[in-house]
Amino acid sequence: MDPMPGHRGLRALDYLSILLFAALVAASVLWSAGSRNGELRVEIEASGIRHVMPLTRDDELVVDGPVGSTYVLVRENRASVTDSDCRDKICVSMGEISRTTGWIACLPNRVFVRIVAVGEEDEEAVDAGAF
Amino acid sequence: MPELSDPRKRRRSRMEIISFLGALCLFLSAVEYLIPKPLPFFRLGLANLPLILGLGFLSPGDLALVLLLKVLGQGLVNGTLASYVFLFSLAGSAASVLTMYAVHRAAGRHISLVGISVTGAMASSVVQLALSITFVFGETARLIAPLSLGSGLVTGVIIGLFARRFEGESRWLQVLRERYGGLR
Repeated sequence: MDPMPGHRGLRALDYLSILLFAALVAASVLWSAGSRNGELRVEIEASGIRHVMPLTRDDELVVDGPVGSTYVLVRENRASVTDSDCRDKICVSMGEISRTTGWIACLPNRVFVRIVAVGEEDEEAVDAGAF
Repeated sequence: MPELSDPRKRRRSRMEIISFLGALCLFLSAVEYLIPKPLPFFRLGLANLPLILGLGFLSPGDLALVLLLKVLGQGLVNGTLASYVFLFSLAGSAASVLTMYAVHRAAGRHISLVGISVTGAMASSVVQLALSITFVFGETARLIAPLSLGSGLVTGVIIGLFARRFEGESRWLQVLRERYGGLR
């Protein structure tokens, strides 16, 4: 039986598929770019609720999700997840974020942390300082 | 390779090959579990290797069976069988295999396993991103897109290069293909 084609070198459609995927990645970079001007805030989405914290004020927030609690810390204009009840702790190992392109996600606990500029955030978000 | 005349023996031999490939997916899932994940969504895709290699000789039905075994095996190894992450895995893997099968059939000799692996990774990444936007993180998941898609491109190329090399040099795979071919 003949082996599958193309095991000696890359074919034209190999390059085309790589280029197509690379174009998709480039488009996603443009799509993900938001406003980078104005006061920065931390937006935490958990269990369908958005919490907002100023990036300039040191604070801590505990949010609950399907697997337990996730701890978000804002300190010295940086936000991070310090602990979470998920297994792999990838969200903790992602470190600190301080720019609008930064994000931290905890997939098992469905928590998403990002930095937003004023005006970019959702009007229906909950001010975490109110709790 | 001698052909089996008894349909029951042929079916049993076919199932042995499918089970073997499924077990290989399970083993590779366990190997991948040992590799630290630097990002959410990041997966090298080692468990896809039997599926990519199987594209060249398995029937669509048998390929679907290996896919099912692979997804169940990954769910067992990762402990995600009872969570929504399992549905993400199922949808991503199904989209990947469907796309790779279609591209393999349509493009024939104009594409190698590298391109096939890349298109599969692209389909899986796009479907999982769409699901995370729709059901988990909403529109904010767009921030994940560059890293999720970018890592998918890189791992797709790596797995494709490995599969192409393995497919060209493995005598074991050649024997498996001949054995399966004799059963059809």
